[in-house]
Amino acid sequence: MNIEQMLEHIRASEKMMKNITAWVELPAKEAVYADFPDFLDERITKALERRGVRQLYSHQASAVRAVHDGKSIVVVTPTASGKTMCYNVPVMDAILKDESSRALFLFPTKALSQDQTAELHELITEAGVDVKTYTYDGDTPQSARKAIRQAGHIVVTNPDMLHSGILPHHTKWTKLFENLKFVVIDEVHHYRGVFGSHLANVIRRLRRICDFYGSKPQFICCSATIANPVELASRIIGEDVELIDNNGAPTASKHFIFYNPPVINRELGIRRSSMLEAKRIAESFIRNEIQTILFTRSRLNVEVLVTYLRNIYGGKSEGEKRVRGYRGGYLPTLRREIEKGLREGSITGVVSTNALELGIDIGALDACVICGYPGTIASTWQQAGRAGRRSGVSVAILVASSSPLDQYIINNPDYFFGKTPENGLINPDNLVILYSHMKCAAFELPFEDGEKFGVETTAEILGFMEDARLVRHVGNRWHWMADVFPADEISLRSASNENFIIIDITEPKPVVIGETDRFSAPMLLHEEAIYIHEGVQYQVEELDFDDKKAYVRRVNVDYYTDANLAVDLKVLDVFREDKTRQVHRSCGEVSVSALVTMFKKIKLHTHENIGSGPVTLPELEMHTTSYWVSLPGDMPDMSQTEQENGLLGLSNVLANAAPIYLMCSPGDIRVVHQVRAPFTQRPTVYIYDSYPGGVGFSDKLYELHRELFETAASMVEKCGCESGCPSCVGPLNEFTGADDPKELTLRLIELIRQNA
Amino acid sequence: MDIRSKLNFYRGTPEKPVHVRKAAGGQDVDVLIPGTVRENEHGRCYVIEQRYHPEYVHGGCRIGDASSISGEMLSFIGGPGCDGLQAEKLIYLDTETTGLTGGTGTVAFLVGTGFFENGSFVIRQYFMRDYDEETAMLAELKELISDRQGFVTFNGKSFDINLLQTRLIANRLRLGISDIPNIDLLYPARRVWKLKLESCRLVSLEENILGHVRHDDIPGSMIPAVYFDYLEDRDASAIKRVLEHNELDILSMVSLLCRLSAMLQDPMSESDGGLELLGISRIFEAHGRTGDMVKCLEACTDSGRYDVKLQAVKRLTTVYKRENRYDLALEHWHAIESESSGFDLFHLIEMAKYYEHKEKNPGKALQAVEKAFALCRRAGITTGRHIDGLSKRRDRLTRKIMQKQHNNNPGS
Repeated sequence: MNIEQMLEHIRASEKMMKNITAWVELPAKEAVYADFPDFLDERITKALERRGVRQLYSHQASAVRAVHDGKSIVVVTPTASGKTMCYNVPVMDAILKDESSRALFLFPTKALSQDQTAELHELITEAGVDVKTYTYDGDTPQSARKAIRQAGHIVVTNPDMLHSGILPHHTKWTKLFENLKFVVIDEVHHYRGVFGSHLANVIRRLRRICDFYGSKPQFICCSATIANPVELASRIIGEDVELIDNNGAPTASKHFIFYNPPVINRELGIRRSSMLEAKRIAESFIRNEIQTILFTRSRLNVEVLVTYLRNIYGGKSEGEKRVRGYRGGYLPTLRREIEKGLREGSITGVVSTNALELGIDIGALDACVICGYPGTIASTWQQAGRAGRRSGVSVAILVASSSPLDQYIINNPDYFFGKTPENGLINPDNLVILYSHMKCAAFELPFEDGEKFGVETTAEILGFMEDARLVRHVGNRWHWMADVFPADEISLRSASNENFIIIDITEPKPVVIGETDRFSAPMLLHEEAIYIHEGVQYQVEELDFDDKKAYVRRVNVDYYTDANLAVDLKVLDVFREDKTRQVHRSCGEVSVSALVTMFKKIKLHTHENIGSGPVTLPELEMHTTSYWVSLPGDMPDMSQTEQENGLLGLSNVLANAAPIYLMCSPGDIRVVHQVRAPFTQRPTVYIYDSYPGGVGFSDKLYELHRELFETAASMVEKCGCESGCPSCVGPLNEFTGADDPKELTLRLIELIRQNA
Repeated sequence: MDIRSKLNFYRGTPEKPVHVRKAAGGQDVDVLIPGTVRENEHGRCYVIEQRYHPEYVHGGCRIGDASSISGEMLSFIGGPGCDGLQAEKLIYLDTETTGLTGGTGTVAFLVGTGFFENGSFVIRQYFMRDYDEETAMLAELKELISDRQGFVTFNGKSFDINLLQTRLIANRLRLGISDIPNIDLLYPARRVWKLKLESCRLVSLEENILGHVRHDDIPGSMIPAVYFDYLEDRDASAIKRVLEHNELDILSMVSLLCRLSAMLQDPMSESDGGLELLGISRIFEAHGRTGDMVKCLEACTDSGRYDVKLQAVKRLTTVYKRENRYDLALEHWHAIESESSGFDLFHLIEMAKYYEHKEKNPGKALQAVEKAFALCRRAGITTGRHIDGLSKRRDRLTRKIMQKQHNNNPGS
């Protein structure tokens, strides 16, 4: 069967169709072309023509023109729309016009930067010009580094390397910084939350250094489709950007299918395994020689699914050739081999983590099966974009898991196919992050009196650093005066250096397998806790709280542990509030104290409580930002218990609804409720950022108040359960009494919606 | 909450600076250490100068001797990029810094220089009394450099010069200091004394080679903290110790250069005839001066120390083999055989190779192999790579011997 026949086959199968919640046929779209702008160097246009590119797509032309006009831009177009040309072409053109020009390309991962340099090299070779492009990252040999610093026109690197390997050594990069014309930031939507807040500060440091050397680079950003690309890009680079989104790339017709595995336990809301269903669907495509990519969330699942799918082929070696896995942890040569096999068609099926979601060139496949919602709409589109040839039909199938977020998306296809609700959020002024980068900045160049590092309080912070003997104020400047290299103390991918590391001591040689933030440590890493890492269970044998180390050993048990967390939340400061109606909303700064007192052992599948134990760990306090909503104190038609149950249900729903807008994982925020909150004196639900200082969520939630509760309402209403389940208001055993938590939650949501 | 209390909260564990204890009521540098305040367009800095008579002896060398080292010798010691230098036009340079981590935030607060002027040796130390004096200090240094030809440093290539280059750029003083010839004594010193000394740090060379023992020297690791404390309390007593430390470093570089020059000029009489001589032969080897290298190594074979002799023979016979002078090589192998008391197989294996391949005498070769086996047995070695290698060789030789016998007596 070819792909059309396969689709017909699915349409005809009642068994399949009853699980399909949406089938959207995205029509083919003709290309919109624009002529090469006449200022472009002929060597570039000729090279492109030789490669079969006679015109640019409309968005590419707009980008090239905007950059030529000296603007900073953000390009927002779908996967496979030729985004890289939006920066490769103008940057190359500028270098050909002025050989001294320099550019810095930032990619979030090393694999991606290698891929993009390869593409740039092809264009440079085709044009026969001398534009030196080098990758500069942790893998760059020492011997090559000097030449790159001196001669590289285009330096391709990642934010981490810029932060610790380039900026603190700027005097070795004088050629680059004196002539820096462009900074390219690809995949800008990746830089959100902690990572994005760090990057914004790294860019602040970059700007100071450029100022020192007298250059003023333009920024070219590219982003997947999100609700606020301009806001995100301009907050990261610290200046205005022009939006380029007149996508002119053609697309072939694509079928997008939402598949929800059937319910097998109605009461608990448990559905048939998404992994087995995804496997079955992928199998049927591969059997029909339809080139298919299967995305799954964990590395472990990749291996399991590869094993299953290889069974399609009779011969063992045939299966090993035709079905491959692809994930982080594979060696670069192996990855290149698999990418080549996919482009050439010798591989029929590939199972991948999101490692293949980013712009790595594997050509276009016929079918894409996504096992479990990837967490964000943007990621889902990027994964689905892997299927879709220029001509002919392709298909993408999303198979939902039982998790609340998956269930919400699969049952509300409008959210997915309509205007995206997802916001990329950062908080460059998060004090913890800002402070660490101000240390780096002071190390790089002395601060001048009156200088602002993004915030009005720069001088106060410098004063604080002076008291800590980190800087010295003399002659209108603040000089670094400590025998440390501050960039080494900061990881861009976590909020503080207070992380706990997790050490596996199963084998004689201990291995570090992960880390967790200080605040989560008591909950996840108390002694006897079962810690799950990449699908493997470990038991915590010892938690060394002072040295921030947890020693774990591999186990195989039929239970998980759940720590009992007592949270106390105090409001420190109110930034914004609206008390004009009965329901009040606010956002501000809070102090959260968390104390873990005991833990429960809960049997897998049956969720029976099979034991418990005490936890004696210190109480932890965190200051962060929060959004909260408070209800009228007098709700005559609801008893105390009913209110309590309703608030609990509401908290659980909000924990699942908020990430849709914030583009974060459920663990990035926490929700607590207080029946009579000390601060508001009313029933209150708080949603706070689970990172010290906050990363920008609460402000956005305050603005999205209305939408948030609409989503919460439809999450509960559309859930197929009777009176509540883990997919909507939470597991029933969490509630007290015989109330209907679903109904109570809905009543509170309605109250909020009508009064907000 | 104000920003300070927030920062205090977030930061958790406060950063703890190191304090150097000292008595209260200290005096500032201009009172404690005689010097002059220099002023230029960038501001001021403090300069301390000492003059040394050329007859002054430090570390067993007359300081004045350093001014007459030949250009040829300087190029030989300094390596690539150090041609055409005149000894009296060099600047000895050593910095004291606010840290050892590298990167732009580390500052040289003291730049010590030494140079010959009208026959005497001058040590001039540029000191910044605070961060705002750095530019002026570097400008003074730049001035001094302008009529000199090159540097003598110890580990300057990877540390001092790099750091000064960074600071010059950060202070917008355009000077490509990294391109100025630099005789970095660390590298030749390592070649010569690596075998003899556990550490080739300047202080270790000073003690063991130059015979100068420092008293009450300030440990290098404490120097950044000393400076930070000085900035706050203006008590220069510990700074004085840093200045002395820096001065000694410079004097020792002068002695070290003299010492190296003398040894390379006349290795046989200036070296210890043992490990040093082996080290010197390495310098000759690196410069392709095989004749001089062979002379050194031949002298080493007369050494009373067996380990020196063994090493010398190993390297020497490699040269002789390459030059096809097996007679000389064989002599040395035999000499080792007669003296060897430990577990050394190399000469036996070399001889086996020689007899087998050059002299085409498998019988003699086999004798050498059997001797090697006997040595192994005595050392209790019955398996492993030595035995495997020897067994292969023995099997091949035995085959060759049988083949030969067969060829000689085809009838039998």
